[in-house]
Amino acid sequence: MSFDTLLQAAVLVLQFDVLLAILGGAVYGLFIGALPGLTATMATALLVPLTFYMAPLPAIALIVSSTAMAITAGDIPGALLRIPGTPASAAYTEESYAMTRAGHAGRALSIGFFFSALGGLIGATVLLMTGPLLARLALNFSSFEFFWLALLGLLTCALVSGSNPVKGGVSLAIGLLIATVGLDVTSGQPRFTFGSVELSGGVSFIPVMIGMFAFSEILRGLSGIGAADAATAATPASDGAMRPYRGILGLLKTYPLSLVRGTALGSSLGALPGVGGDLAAWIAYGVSRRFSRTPQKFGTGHPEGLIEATSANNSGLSSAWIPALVFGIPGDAVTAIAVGVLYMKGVAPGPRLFAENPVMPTSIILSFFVANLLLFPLGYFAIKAARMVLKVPRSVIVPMILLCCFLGSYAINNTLFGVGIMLVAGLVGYVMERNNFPIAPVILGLVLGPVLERNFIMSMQISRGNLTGFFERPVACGLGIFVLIVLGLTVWSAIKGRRRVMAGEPDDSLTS
Amino acid sequence: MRIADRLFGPLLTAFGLAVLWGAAQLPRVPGVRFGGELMPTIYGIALIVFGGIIFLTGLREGGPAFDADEWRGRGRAGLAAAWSLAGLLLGMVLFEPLGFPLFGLLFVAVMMGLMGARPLTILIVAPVFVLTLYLTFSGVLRVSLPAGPLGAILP
Repeated sequence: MSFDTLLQAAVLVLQFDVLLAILGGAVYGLFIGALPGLTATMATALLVPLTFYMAPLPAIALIVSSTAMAITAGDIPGALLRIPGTPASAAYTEESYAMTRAGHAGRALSIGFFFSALGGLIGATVLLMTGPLLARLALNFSSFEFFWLALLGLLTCALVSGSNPVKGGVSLAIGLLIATVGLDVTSGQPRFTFGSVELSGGVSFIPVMIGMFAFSEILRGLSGIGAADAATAATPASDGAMRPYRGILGLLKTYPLSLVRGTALGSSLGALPGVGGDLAAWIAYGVSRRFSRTPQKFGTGHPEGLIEATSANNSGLSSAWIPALVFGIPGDAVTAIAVGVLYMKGVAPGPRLFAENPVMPTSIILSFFVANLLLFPLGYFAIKAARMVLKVPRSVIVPMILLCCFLGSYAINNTLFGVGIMLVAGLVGYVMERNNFPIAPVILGLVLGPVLERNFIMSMQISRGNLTGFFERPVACGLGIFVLIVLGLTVWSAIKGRRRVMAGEPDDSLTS
Repeated sequence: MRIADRLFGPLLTAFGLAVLWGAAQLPRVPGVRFGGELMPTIYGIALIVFGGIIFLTGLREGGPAFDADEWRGRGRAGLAAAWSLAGLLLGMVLFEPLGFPLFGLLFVAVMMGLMGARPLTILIVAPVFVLTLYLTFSGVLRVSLPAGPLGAILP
């Protein structure tokens, strides 16, 4: 990419209408993302009619900035109310909520905004510099590589989510099983639908996520076993801690590796169509815990994993545009909508666009920079506003959250079936948590279940049922061996821990 | 609600067996070697194995097989928990005839009352919050919400 192209793109992005679109999109994204149950996809879809009346670049800039902000703002209900805004933020909701309960809500939100913005900026740089190269590499991946990647993400989540890997495995199996409900991905036959029309479309992860994280937490709080909720955690001491970005540079100095590793993971995994962004946050959190010097602190409001996962989240979001822009193949719903808008405007994304009109894709990438830079000031105001949420008494905020749970579950498909799913998921989540089964693997199993199944079945058909086929391609072989090592190490440490327990020694494996 | 692992394990194994049975009942497509039954079968086997491990490791556990002690003596909080479930279930029935604003008002006001909010707080907060939520979702975000009897006066 020439300097001239970059300069022309910068001039285009700094036009008043583009900047206004970016600012408007960011404020709108902040509003949508902070509302429990409303997703970045929904935010993008709602913007499409507005883009009819806009020029191509402001239209895409609007989508880019609203998505980046909605996904980052999804951390707000996660940290304050334990309602993750996106599947990616579910990876670290427990951690940020634990920080809020400890009276450090401001710190949790500051980490979310600051490191998301940094991750997004680094991700945009990667998109600018190495986009075509990464996309070409990802396009060479077959179902074998995607299967191993999905399995790695699922295993990492199941193994690090709780103290007992077996119970993590049960949670994962339940999530994967829920993902099989609906039309079978290979034959299109209904599966476990029990004659229900609504179940034919599968079980949406939004009501399950709301039920398992929010409704079950409210039941725990009312039963007296849950820790104090966000509202009661707002002690006078935590008021002082609500200062936005206070001590954030100190965290940057303490955990630089987490930022680098998180953004590296996010940038590389984000480019993979279909699984990228969400998977990056989960794997980043798992990797952070695995290689941390203080893994026992994870889950108690420790910033290390939060920094790594939240950086991976937003850098993955930027690189998710690599396959969409460079090859015109959208990897997720948001980029699919954006590609649709580009086509509507007469701009066909793909390699020819980079060759014939390089200023256009470069301008889109530069709008990422502006959108992510806006995260810093808008995050400041969002954290200030969050202080008010923490001051609301429990008797007021709990009924409000419950009604938001109802509405969020209803709004995803405009059907009460979602509310029923949310209530069942809430009760199941309550029983699971009471019995030390982690609930995060259920959500990831539900999200990645179809990806895992589609790629597994496809790989089995290609290799005609021969499992050695999963190790024949070099990258697939490397990933497969890595997965087996992770599994082997977990089984080994579990057996070692068991022997120690039987011998009356403290069990390290439960905390590592 | 705590269920001892020595009881939870067999429950999971039974669930896994039910999944295997359900997977075996799925219709096979002629000529398709790896069909829709493959993944549920794998997950069912995993549940059976995990259930067995949890049962075996739970055998050394003491204590009752089942308890719900956390709800004992919870008084109004217990009632609030019951209403959180019953009220939302009721909402699924009354959503269309009552409309979102009236159902929301009823649900939030009762819940706030059970959780010990002052009557004046309920009187001010419940209608303002429900109306704001209704106008935001229905007006700004274009989510189709039934207005019920208040449809005549609400936008």
